[in-house]
Amino acid sequence: MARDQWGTKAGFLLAAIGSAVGLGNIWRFPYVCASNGGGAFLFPYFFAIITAGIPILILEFTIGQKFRGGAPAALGCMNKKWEWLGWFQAVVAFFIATYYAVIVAWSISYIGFSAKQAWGVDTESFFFEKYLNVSDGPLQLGGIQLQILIPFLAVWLLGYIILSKGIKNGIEKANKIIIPLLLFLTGVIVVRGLTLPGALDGLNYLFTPDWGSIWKPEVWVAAYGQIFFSLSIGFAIMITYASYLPKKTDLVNSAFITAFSNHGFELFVALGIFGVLGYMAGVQGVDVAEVSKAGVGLAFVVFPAAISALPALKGTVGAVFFITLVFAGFTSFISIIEAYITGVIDKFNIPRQKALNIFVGISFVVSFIFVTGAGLYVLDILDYFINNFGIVLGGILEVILVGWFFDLEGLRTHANRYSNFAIGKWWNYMIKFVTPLVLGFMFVQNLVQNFIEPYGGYSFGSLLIIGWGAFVLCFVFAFVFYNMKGDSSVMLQPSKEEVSK
Amino acid sequence: MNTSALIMFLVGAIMLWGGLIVCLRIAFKKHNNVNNGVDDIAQE
Repeated sequence: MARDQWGTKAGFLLAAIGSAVGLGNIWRFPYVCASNGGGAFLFPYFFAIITAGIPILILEFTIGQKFRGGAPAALGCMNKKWEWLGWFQAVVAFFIATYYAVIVAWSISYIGFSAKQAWGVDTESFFFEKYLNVSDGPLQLGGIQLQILIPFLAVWLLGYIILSKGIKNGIEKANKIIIPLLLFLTGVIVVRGLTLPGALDGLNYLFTPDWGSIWKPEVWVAAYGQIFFSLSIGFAIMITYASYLPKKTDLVNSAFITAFSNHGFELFVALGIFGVLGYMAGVQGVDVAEVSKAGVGLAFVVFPAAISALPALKGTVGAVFFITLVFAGFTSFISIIEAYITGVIDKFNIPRQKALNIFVGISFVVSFIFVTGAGLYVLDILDYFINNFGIVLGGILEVILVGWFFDLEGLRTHANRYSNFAIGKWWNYMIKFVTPLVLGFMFVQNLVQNFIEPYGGYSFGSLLIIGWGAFVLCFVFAFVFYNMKGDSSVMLQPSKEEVSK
Repeated sequence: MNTSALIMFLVGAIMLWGGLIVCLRIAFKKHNNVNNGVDDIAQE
């Protein structure tokens, strides 16, 4: 079976950028920057891009392209036992896909709500009580919420259709359309945000440096965390996307372009977000810090309130903001699904359509839990555990195994072979020392923090069943898939001779 | 916008957007060189 391939290099880059640019760029970066030293945060942030983000991206591009397989096949090609780690990353991607779909679905609903600002005056009550109809706790499901169901079905259906068309005709084409539109719509938000009265107060809050914070370890951890979680690294996506690259591909510059595009985008969108927040703070007569939020609270509570407070074009600006969220989330969503679909196709040599029918079907059924009244709670817990433990552990094991127990120098030579500019030995040191240390510190810190103070004030039982339960399931399913008998006749992988060239 | 905030924004913009422009220029330059090379071979 011939392996699918990207049609153009630009197509691959747009898909990689589309994967990296997600909801976190819009609703996480501006807050993290503002609350970790403002402008001073940009120095640890840039340092983290160079010492961790780009090196890991180069590593994953190289692994995927050299061994021409998704994470399980590629890591399994490097060492049979490491296939397990590839499956671990793929299962992490599976869990993320299940809840990512519902956030995109909420955003679709909010495009419609924007027309007449259906959220009213109390945006918080509207979102949590009227729209989500949240139950009393994570273990009380509270039934399917029909108002979320239709956009939710649309997200899964559209994702399924695009993925069915394959890499070149599906993912690449979708990204070639969506990414330019995403950039244009973000431009609209930025222009609107910056032309509002009070916007400069927001930007002052965002960028005024607090130099004292640069000496705080937590600010550096926040910088590395933002880089790591924002680039779609550590959970099989970039290895998968790179596995569809042709042999003569510039890997190093592609990684630099992907990273700079992703982080350049979040700096750009931050201008619009804090422009609007500055305006809103002015209207309410409060400090910008009081309206500065991250995540779901920013997108579905603060922003709707800000949209209602706009002097004109409320419906248009609201629709543009939520379409931007949909586009950013959707391109990431399809990349997350592709990460485990490719793993399955590689291992069992089954047609793409069959793999999609089975595994998108399973993901779709599992994700129904997020359409219930307990959906937000389950999402919150799962997101925390899968990100802070699943992705981080997958990343640590990847850099340690490949850095210390594989021919890293050989990978560097391969990365440099067709690249526009070469990476030096510094890359080896980043992979072997800096990234394991930083990620290890993050993992231990999160672990200790969780034992001192259980996450989010949830009950121990909820965290055990949903959070730790999902984390354990990542191990269990990784071992199950690792031990399953694949199709040994699969000739998707290059021969050892070809790899060693 | 106060001066220190403006300077920090410019620093961030130069680092990220400037970095992207440099990488894209390198990519296009090499791409054109490769295409010119192909043309040269075709002319031969």
